[in-house]
Amino acid sequence: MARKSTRPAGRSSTRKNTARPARGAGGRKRGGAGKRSGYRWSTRLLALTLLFSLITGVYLLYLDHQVQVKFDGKRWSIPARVYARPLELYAGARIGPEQFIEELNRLGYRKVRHPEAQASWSRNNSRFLVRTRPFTFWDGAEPGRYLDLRFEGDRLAGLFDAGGAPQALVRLEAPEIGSIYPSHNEDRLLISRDQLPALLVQGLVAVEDRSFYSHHGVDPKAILRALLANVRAGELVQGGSTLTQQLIKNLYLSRERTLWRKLNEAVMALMLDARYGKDEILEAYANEIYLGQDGSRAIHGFGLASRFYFNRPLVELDLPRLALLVGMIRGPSLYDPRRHPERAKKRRDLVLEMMRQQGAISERQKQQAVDSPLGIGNPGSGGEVRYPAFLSLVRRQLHNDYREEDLTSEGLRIFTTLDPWVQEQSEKALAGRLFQLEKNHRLPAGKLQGAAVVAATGSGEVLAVVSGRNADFSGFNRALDAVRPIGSLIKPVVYLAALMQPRRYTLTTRIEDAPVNLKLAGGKRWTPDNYDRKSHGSVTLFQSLTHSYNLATVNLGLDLGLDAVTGLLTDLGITRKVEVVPALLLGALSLSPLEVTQLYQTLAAGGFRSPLRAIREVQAQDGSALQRYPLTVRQSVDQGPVYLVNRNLQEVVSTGTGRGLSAFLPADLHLAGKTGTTDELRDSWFAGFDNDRVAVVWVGRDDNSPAGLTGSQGAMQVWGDLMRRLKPDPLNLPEPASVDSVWVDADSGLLADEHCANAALIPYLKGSAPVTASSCVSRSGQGIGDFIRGFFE
Amino acid sequence: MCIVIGAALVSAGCSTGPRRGAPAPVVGSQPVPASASRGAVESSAYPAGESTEAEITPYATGESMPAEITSTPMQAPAVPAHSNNSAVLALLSNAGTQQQDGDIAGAAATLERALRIEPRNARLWHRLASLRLDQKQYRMAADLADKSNSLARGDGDLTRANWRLIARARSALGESAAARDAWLRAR
Repeated sequence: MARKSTRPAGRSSTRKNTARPARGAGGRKRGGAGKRSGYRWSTRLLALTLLFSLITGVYLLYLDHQVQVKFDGKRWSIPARVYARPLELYAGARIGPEQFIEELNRLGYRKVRHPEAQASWSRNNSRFLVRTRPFTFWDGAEPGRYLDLRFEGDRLAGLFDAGGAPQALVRLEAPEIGSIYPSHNEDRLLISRDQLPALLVQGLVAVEDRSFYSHHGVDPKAILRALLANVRAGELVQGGSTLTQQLIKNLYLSRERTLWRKLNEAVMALMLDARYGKDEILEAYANEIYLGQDGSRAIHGFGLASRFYFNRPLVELDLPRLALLVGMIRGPSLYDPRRHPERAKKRRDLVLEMMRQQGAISERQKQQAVDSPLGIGNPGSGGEVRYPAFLSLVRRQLHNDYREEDLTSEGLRIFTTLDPWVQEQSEKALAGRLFQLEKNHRLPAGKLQGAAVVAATGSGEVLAVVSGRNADFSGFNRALDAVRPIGSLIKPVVYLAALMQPRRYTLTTRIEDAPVNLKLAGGKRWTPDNYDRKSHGSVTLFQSLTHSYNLATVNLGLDLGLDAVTGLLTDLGITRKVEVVPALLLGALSLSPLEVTQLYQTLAAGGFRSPLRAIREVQAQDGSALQRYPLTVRQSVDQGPVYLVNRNLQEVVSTGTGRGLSAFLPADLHLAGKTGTTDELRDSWFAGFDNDRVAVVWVGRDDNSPAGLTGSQGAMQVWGDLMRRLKPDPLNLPEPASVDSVWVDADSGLLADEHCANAALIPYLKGSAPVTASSCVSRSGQGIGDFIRGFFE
Repeated sequence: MCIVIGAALVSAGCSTGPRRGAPAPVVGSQPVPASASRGAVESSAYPAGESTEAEITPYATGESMPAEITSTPMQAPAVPAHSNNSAVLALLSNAGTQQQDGDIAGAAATLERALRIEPRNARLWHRLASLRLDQKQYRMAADLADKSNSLARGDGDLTRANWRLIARARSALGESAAARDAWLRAR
C-alpha cells in the first residue's frame, strides 16, 4: 500500500485542478475593464464553471464512495455449499473396490501409474495407493495422507499409511453435491490471492492486460492499440479494457455500451487503482469473472469454474487447463469446452501462444500444453447440483433454522447425511425397473413414475432420496410431495395396535376374514373386499398380516376402535392430520414416501423413533462450527409388540405377499417388509428393512390414473433390485426381555413342540402365550419338557 | 475528460480515509437464524468458536430438545464401552478426550460417528446416554439407555448400568415412582 500513498498522480492532478480557477480569474481581468456586459458574461462563465466543477466534484465523490462501499464491504453473496457424507475408511468396512473407485471419481481423484500428487491413486488388483486431499471438517482438519488399502471381496480388509503402519480410521473428504445460490443465480466459490496459480495470473496478464502491473487502472496505450486494430479490421476485434476496467464493469456497471458508461468505467478504474493494491484487484477479478452457465446457474470466478469444468480445485489445474479458463473470459458460451470443444481448443492454444510470446512459458511448455486434450470432466460432475431431490429435502430442513438470505449469501458449509453410493444405486434401480415393468406388463412407455427413500434405521439419517425415474430433473419431488394413499402399508400399524393389548390379542388369536358391510355417516355403505375377492374364514393375526387380508384387518380394526390406530400413527411419527374413517384401516390415508419412511423407521428400530435427518452439521464460512443436528431417539412404542409385528413382517417376505423378493435376495437375509396396493392399482408400494437400513418405494402415475401394478408387481421389484445393489446385512431382530418365543401348533394355536407337524416358533408378550398343549404334544410324549424348554427359550 | 479524470484523482488521492489500503474483507457478517424458526434451535446468536446443537423437527415430530450445554460435570462412564473394531476404539478414545476437555458436542458427534460404524453396539448407546445425562438432558438420556438395553442381550453389567442411569434421569425429572422401579431393576 505504501506505493499508493507516494504516487504522484494525486498530487499532479491537484495542481491541475487548482489551476482552473486561476485561468478563470485571468479571463475576468482581461474582459472586465469598463465593459459591463463583458463583466457579466465572465461572471456567468465563472459561476457556470464553478457550478460545473461542483457538480463534477460531487459526482466524483459519489463514484468514489460507490467504489469503496462495494469493495470494502461484502462484495458477493456466497452461496452455502452442500456436502454428502464423507466416506469412512477402516479395516472391516463394507466397501468394495467398485464403490471405492466411484467415490474417488466423484472427488475428482486421478488414476495414475504411481500417485505422486495430491488427489491421485493407483491400483494393483485389490490393492490401492491413494494420496488424499486435506479437508476441514466441522470438528477438525483431516490432513492429506498417503494411504495403502487392501480389499477382500466387498470389504476393506486393511488400511495402512504408505509406510505400512495400520490406520484405525480415515475420513475421505466430503464430496460436494451442490450449492444453495440466491435468486439472481450467481454461484461462486471464493478463492484468495494466494490460491491463484502463478500461471493463471501470467496468462491473464498476457491475454487481457499486458501492462496490468504498471498502469494506473486505465491503459491509454492499450486503448490506442485496440483502436488501431479495430480500424484496420473494420470491426471490433480488440478491447482496450484493463483488468481493472473489466472488474469495474462487472462489479458496478450495467452491460450497456455507451460512452457515458465507458467514461464512468475509466474514472472508477482510476479510483480503484488509486485506492487498492494490484493483488486485491486481481483477487476480486478472479472471483467476479463470469465463466459459464449451468442451466439457470451462472458460474462466476475461477474457483467455481475449475470445479465446474474439471471437477477439481484450482490449485490442482495444469497449464493447458488454466489456459483454457483464461481463454474463456472472452466468451464463456462461445468457447464453452463442452459444447464447442474445437473452438475452445483453438482459443486455448492462442492463449498459450500469447503466454509464450510474453515469456511466461517456454516454447517446450507451450508445445506440451497444445498437445494435451481439453481435460474436461464429465458433464455430470463438477460441483453442479447432482442430487436435486435430496437437496430440496436439505433446503426444507435448513429453512426451519435459517433465513433464505443466510443460506444464499453467508458461505455456510452444510454437511449432510447423503450417501452418494446408496443414492446412485437407488436411482439406477428405480429407472431400470420402471423401464422393465412397462415392458413386461405392456404398459404405455414413459408413463410410470416412482420415488424411493432410504434411511439408516438406528439414527434416522436419510441416505438417499429419489424423486422420479429421471433423477437429475429437479421438478416435482415425488419422494417428498407425492402424497398418496398408502394401502396395506397401514396394516402393520393396525396389528401393532392389537398386539399392544396382549390380553386380547396375540399373533395366534383368531379373527374373522368375513364380509364387511358398514353404514357410513352419509348413509352410504362400505363393502370392502379382499384382493382375491374371497373370504378366508377364521384366520390368525399372523396369517392375516402375512397374506394382507383386508376383511380380517377391517374386522380387527373396528374391534380395536379407529382411535387406537390413529393414536399409534402419531406415536410412530406421522404428524399429518388423519381422517378417522373405517377405510383408514385399509390405507385410505395419504402419505408421502418420506413420511412412510419415518413410520417404518420407528418399526425397524424396535419402537425407537429417530426423526429423519438430512443434515449433520453446519459450518460458518470462517470454519467455525455453527450447529449440529444430533442423533435423537424416543422410545415411542413398547419394544415387545413392535418385535412381534417385525417378526410377522419377516414372514410376509418369506411366505406372504412379499415372497417374490426371493427373485432378488436370498431367504437367509430374513428381510422384513410389506406390500401396499390401492384401488384400481393406482399406487404400488413397498416398505421394508434389513439390519440397518429402511427403504420405501412408491410406483404410480403422476395423473393418478391406474398404474396397473400391485405392490408386489411394481414397487417391490424396485425395492428388491435396490436392496440387492446395496448388499443388505441379514436382519437380526434382538428379542426384547418382554417376549417369549414358543412352539405353537399353527392350526389350533395351542402349545406344540418343534417335532409337531405344524409347529411354528411364535413370539408372545410374556404372560400371553397359550398354556394349553395341543394333542400333538401329548401324542409325541415329550410335551412337558419341550413345553418348558420352549417357554424359556 | 481531463477535468473529470483530474477531479477523480483529487478525490481519490486527497481523501486519506482510514480505509485506504485496508484489506477488503470478503467475509460477511455472522448469519443469524430465522427468528421465526420452530423453536428447534436453542440459540439466538452463535458465539464464535462454539457449536450448538439443534433438534431437527421437520417431518416427523414437533418435539424439542434442550440446548447443548458445554460446561458440565464430568462423569466417568459407568461401563466401559468396547468393540472389536479398531476404528470404533479410536473414536471412543477421542470421545473420552473431548469429554475431558469439556467439548461435549464434539464428544457426542464422535460417538455418533462410532454408532454409524456399529449401530448395534449397546455400549456405545450407553456412552451417549451417560453423556446426555451429564448434560442434564434427562429424557434423552433415559431413551438412549432404553435403546442400549434393547441391544444389550444378556450383558448384565450393562443392563444394570443402564437402569441406574434411567433411575437417575427419572429422579431428576421428578418421576419418583418410575425411578424407584428403575432402581429395582438396576439391582
